[in-house]
Amino acid sequence: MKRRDFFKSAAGAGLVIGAGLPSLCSRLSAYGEKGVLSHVEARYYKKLPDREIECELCPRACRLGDKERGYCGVRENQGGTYYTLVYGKACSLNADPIEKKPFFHFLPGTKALSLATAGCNLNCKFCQNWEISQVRPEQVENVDLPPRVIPAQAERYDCPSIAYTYTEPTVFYEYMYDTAVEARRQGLRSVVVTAGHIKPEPLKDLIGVVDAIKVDLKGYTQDFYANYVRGELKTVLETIRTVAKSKVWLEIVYLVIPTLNDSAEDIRKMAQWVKNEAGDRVPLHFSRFQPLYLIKNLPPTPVSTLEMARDTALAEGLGFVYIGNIPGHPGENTYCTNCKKTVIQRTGFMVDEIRLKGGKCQFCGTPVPGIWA
Amino acid sequence: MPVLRDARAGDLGLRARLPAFLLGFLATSFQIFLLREFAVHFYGNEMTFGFVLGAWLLWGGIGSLVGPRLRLRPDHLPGFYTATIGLYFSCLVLLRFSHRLLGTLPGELTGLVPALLFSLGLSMFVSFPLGVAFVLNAALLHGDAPRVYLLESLGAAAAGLSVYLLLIPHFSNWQGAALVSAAVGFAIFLVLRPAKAWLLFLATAAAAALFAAADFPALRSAWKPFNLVHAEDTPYGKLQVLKTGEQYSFYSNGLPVFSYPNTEAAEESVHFALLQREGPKDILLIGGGVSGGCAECLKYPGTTLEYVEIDPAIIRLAERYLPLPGLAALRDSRVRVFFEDGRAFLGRTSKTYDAVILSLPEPATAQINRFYTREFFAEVRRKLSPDGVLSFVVPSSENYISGDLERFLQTLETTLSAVFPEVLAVPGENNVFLASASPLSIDPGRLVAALKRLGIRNRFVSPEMLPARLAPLRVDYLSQKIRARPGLVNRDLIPVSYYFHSVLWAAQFKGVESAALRIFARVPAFWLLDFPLVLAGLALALMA
Repeated sequence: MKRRDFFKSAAGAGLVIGAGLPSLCSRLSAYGEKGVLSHVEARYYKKLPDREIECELCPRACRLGDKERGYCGVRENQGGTYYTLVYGKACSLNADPIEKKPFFHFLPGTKALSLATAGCNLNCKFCQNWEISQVRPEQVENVDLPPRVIPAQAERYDCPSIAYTYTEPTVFYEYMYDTAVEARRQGLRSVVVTAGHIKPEPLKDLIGVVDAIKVDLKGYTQDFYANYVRGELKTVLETIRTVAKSKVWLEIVYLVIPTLNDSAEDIRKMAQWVKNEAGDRVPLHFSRFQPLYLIKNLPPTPVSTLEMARDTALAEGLGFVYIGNIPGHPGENTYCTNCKKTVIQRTGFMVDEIRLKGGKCQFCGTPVPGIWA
Repeated sequence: MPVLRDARAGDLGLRARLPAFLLGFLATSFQIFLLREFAVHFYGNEMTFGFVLGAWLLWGGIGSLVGPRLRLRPDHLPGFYTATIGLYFSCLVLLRFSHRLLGTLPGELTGLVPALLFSLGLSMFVSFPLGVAFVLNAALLHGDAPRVYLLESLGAAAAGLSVYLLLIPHFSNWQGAALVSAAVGFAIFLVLRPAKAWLLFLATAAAAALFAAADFPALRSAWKPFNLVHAEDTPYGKLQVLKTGEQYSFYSNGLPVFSYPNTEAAEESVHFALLQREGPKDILLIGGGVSGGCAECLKYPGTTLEYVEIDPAIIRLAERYLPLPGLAALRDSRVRVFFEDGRAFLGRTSKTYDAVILSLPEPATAQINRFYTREFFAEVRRKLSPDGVLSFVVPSSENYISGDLERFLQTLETTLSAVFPEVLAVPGENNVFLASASPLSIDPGRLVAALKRLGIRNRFVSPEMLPARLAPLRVDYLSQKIRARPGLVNRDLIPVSYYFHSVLWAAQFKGVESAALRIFARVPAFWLLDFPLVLAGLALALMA
């Protein structure tokens, strides 16, 4: 066989095989939903020459030209005016136990109407909600849910509070703020589940209208924040400090990821910082990492690591340290700092028993910090 | 041709023919080991196999095109093969530490683009010189290309047999590659007798020995900062065991198989199915038994369990590493363990079961997709008692079902519904699918009552956790999503669940992967499958 003949045979055989291959592709159809976006002027930005703007909501301080969007993907400069595209555009709505946020010292045993829009100003490699946090709002299905109708939804599902959660609520700040105002007007509480990547001014304004803030402290080194979160540790610490000084109830969650942020030394330093800057009465939750998103192939956190973290923080003098995502673990319960008796017994998201009277331990009368009613 | 001048004299033509045979032998064995290693570092998905094979052919073709223009002579072949062996070792090292080059963690997902780039880059260093070697072999055989093809094919066949029958069952990929290289080096030394033959052979043998010895240390180093305690190549892939605190995590081809203890995964894979009926007696568990599935099943009184695991090495390693409580269930007299492909087992068994529980990865590969097709579900239904239950778990999203996830879940729901009249899905970070010919329920009150009646104490599928997981809003949301429109039926030869899972997987990367896969779905088959072949045919015809 000559080279030419071989090529000819190969070409012919290829055509025959190709024609006979089953057609998977023709049987597949592609769909696409386009969300309708809002057009509400954003707060916290400044106008610059040449129709540019600079966002002043989060430390990224995105400087944007006309038609450009911020890092979060949900705020856009249109002709020199900055707009939020997700005002009243909820993409997720649930009635969750407040323990799931987690808040352990805030209306225990109740449910929180939990809502989110698309977008985030961070990019955590372990994000639980990447389908909505790491996309633009037109890539998700949105529901029109303006602030004025949300309290009715909360009442419908027997929720005394509204939680701004799942994605980073900082990026839907205006929506959150107005909803919180509306909720307060109707006697409902507002709780914010945030990574704390927000500038001081909007944070201070937010503190004026919400009742509780849970900050996800994702690690205690800037390296971790740079590599796995794409954010700034110092901003998050400043947020915690600011909330701790306010009247808003504060809880902190530290997601323990094996080998990445679980060193005993980092945890000890973090616990010391929390005690010094936020006080020893701030609840600190160590949550178990379940592999997700881009690091879904990593192992989950061993229980012993969580126990080590809790013991370390307790030894540093924090009064209320919890273990999360391990239902039935004694580290889920609240213990009186004085008599050491169990004052709130929990199993997972269920509150089994509350032994508090007027916010005090029913055994010894020691006050237990929190919002109990 | 000073070295091979006696090619046709006194050796039955062995000196002339052996290089072409060795070419096929080297190319095929190197390709097999490269594919197996590639699967470990780029998720074991067949798409990445396609990349490697495509890149391999591309560079081989380019090598054979460029070969005649290089001023090489057939007597360069021995040195050429030796250099290729060296390059191949380097490629495997680069592949093992690919995440360092990409700036990611070991085990971190990186997307299809890096997989494509690595397949192109690594194949170039091996397949290109082998393509050039083809031309040199043709020159050695005086332009008799068909004979080169024949000899090369014989070498490839010999490689396939020896690698799969002799090497893979007993050696790791690196060790296998080292042995192949040493054997080729020896053959060159013995038969071709090139200049500085001893030097070439010694260099090859030393490199092969070093390479084989470095396998596990290199693997441990690549996994840092995680603690790799064991690695083993089996016919089914590369098994690796990580230790984190008291916890052991088993990986197969770079993908997590299970962590122990991981009570949540074990409970959710078993209890939603078994709580459906009063007293499930005969249970078939496909996968997942060693990670807690068997122990969870045995919480039901009067149960007998048949547990099918494809890779005996998983049980062997579990017995070596897991603590005694984890192994107790495996040794229980009510449990029978079978080492077999789950689908083959189901096909041959004559028993009927009250529950068939799949505890397998999601259909992320064509191989696993076989357990999620209409054909397989029909086989399951034939082996289920009239009110028997099938269940499996797939990763999902608790708070938002994206369009990609929705379409993937719809294929599963539609495929199950094509076989079973009753189908339900449990919401959560993982969705538990249940299917039966008889009514099913995920009413939390009913499940909690069943748990209490049976005296079963769980941590996650428990009275404390079920009401939140099965909150009406979440159940309705998932149900509405998976039934929003009729999905496509997943079949053995039309693996739509595999495709939609690939789209979903690709959506995690902010790159071109997801868009490319969606485009493929819209392009008629002719343009994807036939047109490139037409183009290739035209190109070949022009070249001829």
